[in-house]
Amino acid sequence: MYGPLETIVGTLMTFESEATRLRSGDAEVIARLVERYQHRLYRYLLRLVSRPSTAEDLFQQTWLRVMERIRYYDPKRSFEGWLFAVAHNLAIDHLRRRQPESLDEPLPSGETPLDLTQSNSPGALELFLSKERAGHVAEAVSELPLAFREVITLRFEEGMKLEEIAAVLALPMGTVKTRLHRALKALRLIMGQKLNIGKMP
Amino acid sequence: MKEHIFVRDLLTLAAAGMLDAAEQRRVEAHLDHCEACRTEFGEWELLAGALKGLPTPQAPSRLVLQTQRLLSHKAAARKHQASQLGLALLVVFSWMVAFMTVEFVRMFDIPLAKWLDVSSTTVWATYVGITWFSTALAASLLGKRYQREGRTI
Repeated sequence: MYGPLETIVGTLMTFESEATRLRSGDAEVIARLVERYQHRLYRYLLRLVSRPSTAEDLFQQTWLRVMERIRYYDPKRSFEGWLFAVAHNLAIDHLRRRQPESLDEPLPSGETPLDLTQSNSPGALELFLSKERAGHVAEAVSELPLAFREVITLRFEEGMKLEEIAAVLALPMGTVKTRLHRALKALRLIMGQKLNIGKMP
Repeated sequence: MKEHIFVRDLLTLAAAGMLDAAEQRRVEAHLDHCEACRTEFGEWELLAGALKGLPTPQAPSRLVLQTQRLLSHKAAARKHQASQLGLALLVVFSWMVAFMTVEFVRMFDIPLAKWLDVSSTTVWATYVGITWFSTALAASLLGKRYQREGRTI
């Protein structure tokens, strides 16, 4: 049996050797990481691009990029944050090539996210969630503009902290907070609209 | 009233757990005595809970396998490339050494040429030729062995 100190030292040494092997582009270590992050990375990409086939392409591209750029990875930084930043950049490049999208792009309803944040629909949210419609939350999220979808998924699905999200998106922390605030308000309004116009079964 | 408006604007981030300690305390203090904000905060918490509980789409297993295979091929190709480069450098180095030692061979090439009954140029040209050929052969055999064992130089 090992004591707590041995366990900590052992963990640190394992991490150190894994980080070293990772930086040297060891395919075995990267293959283990592919397995470890498979569902989270796929989910993140799917939330960004919406299409499974595109998410799969980007998934492979992300790992290839990780392998190419691994020598620039700073082991003092979280690998997870670095991985998601690589995926973010690839997804943004892809979306910019295919469909330039901005924060102020109109939503399907014709309103812009900024309009949405000005209004609210009290009580609608509770109704939306209470009638076993929680499964439709993902659908409502998918209707948000990219910049909003991204902060929502990083915060609530990936459970990242403010600094981590800011690092992934390469944005100031204040901007991340503003985006998350607006994203939640926009999401709530979309849910309210869905409920009111009877879109939901 | 001012405080109410200020805190109301922070409720989304409070439910998301994104406030700093001072802001969080300010929100909590206001919620203690503001029924409207408490109700609204409850709704934001409900939404945050629903977002945290969204089902995770699973990555197809064939995607993971394909990606791992792709990375493994890429790593093997990189190793092979590195080995080839390393061996090429070794060969160049040995050729340079052969060139540099030509002067040393020249000290003996006249008696050797006489003994072999050939010109001294033939002696040192043969020396350089044998050195170059043997280093290239050694590098090629070594490269093949390393490639078979999946090692790099």
